[in-house]
Amino acid sequence: MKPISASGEIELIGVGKRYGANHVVSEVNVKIKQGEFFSLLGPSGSGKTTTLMMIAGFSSADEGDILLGGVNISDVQPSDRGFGMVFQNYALFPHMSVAENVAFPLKVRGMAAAERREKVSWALETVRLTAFATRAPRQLSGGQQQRVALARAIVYQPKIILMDEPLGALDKNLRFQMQTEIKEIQRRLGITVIYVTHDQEEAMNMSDRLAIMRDGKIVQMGPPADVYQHPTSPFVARFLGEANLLLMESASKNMANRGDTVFICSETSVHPAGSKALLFVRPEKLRLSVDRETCFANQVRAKIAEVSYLGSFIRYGLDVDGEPLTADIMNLTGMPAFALGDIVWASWTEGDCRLLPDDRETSS
Amino acid sequence: MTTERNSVAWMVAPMLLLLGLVFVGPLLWFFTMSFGELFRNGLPQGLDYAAKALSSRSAIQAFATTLRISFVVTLLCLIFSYPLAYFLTRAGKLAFNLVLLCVVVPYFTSVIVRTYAWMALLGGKGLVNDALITLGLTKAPLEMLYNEKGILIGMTYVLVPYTVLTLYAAMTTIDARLMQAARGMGASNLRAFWTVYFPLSMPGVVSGGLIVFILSLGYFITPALMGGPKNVLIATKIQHEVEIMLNWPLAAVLSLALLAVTLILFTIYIRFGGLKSLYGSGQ
Repeated sequence: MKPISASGEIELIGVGKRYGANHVVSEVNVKIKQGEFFSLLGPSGSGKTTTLMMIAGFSSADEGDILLGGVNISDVQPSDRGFGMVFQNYALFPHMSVAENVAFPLKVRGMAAAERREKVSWALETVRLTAFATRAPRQLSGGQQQRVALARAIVYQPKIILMDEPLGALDKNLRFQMQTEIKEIQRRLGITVIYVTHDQEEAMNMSDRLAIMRDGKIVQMGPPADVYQHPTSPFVARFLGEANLLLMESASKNMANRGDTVFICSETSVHPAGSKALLFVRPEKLRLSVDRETCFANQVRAKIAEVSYLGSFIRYGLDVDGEPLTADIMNLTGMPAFALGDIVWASWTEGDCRLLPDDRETSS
Repeated sequence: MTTERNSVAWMVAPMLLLLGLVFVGPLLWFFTMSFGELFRNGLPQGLDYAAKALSSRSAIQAFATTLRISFVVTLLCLIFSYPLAYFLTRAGKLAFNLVLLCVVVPYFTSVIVRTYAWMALLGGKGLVNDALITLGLTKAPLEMLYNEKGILIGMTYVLVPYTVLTLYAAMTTIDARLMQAARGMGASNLRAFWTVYFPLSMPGVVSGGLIVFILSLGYFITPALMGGPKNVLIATKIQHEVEIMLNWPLAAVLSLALLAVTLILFTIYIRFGGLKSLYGSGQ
């Protein structure tokens, strides 16, 4: 029962999945490089887990092909694909000790006992759990169980590991710590990871590249910073962090107006000129000032309608003649603080804003 | 707190009273009468008699037969129930209800009715033999009644619901994703089943097996009706001593021995999650 390929490169070509007439995944095209940390990110029901299950082989692809190092593996049994897997809620075997859990994939592959012991202790050392080898999984904390699952996935040194929301059950602090740990191990071992999550921060923190899915399709793909700063749709803008989306009355590729105010933006290919558009700008890109001289190129007059003191930054809810706008201002020494009711200038540079097609009628 | 406990006590009182009157009372009365007779000539002589009674050939044979039949019935129940219970955990709503109905409805039907039904089916001119002869599978009718085969068929049928329900309850607590995980890590379906699913279903196998074994030990009606004169089980022997031989002391000694074995097994059963495991609320 040898894994059919030891390649760390995987490619999905036009992959799709149907349940009856319902397309749950369609037209997924992606090439993941050796050693890349790739995330599938999306709200629940977006098809990200189904896509992962098709890669794993638990679910068959109704359309398209999955290539592993150039070889079509669409018809290969999950047990023969040779991937490491970390499941939601870990899926540790409750009747086996930590060491037995980690040894399972090796045993299944018929590895000799001595070699097995060596590999298991290497894997447990990698996740810093050597002292817990003889414990039962239920005697461990959530974070420790998570690390056992990780050790079990890396123990036979697969080139690719699939992870399905592995940190979903952990609390926030622990989750961040585990993200760092997983990322560090992945980089050290040079493994390709395909990671499914609905947590944007997690995906941004860990991924070399991420794909945002919606209704079974990849709507945007790229390095986290790229997708965050240059979303191509209001959906992505809203899904990945906070976004201001101001309705424009008319727009060209890089210019738009709202009443008498004209805004200049960096050019995008996604917005057809002439029709209505949404102006996208991240809250932290906004500058607030009383004095118009210190403003960036794009300016609006706004009233402070809400103030949330969040520690490292202050979130201001602004009212731009009825339309809401959010500004996140770093809580630096010497920064002016504003109070409710203050009238200010909110401004941003043309490089930080873009015009996106208006989707307000079509989505809720 | 105390008032709550009091009201609970009042609620179980009628049940306890009933059990005391119709179960514990007669049992005590029977043992008192029998042991009075047994120890009439003094304790040493009584004990001597009990030892002799228990080591008599017929008693040992009855116990041996009972244990053997109970063991085989338990094994048969588990073998038939395991796939059925597994199917129930996978089945859709309709199939689930249908199969469960088939398992449970006989369970609520009188044992005597069911036993006579089997006798009609298995007899020399019964439906099963008729079918076998018509199909040419056998020339002479098979003897499936009034022998050990009859007892095994009848008792397995009667006791199968216990193992199905216990196994089903145990199986539903097994996380289906564990099998998926095992396959994802390179295990074949069969390997995943034997190394993951089967060990995890063991608590159900043990407690289901124990309850069927315990129930088999004292089984009376089915073996009495479907067994032959050679198949003397311990319950049949006790009944024989009480009603025909009128040897109450011997019957009491045998009953006590049976009670002791049953209680020991029951203690083990409780250790394995007990009655709760029948309804799935236990771990």
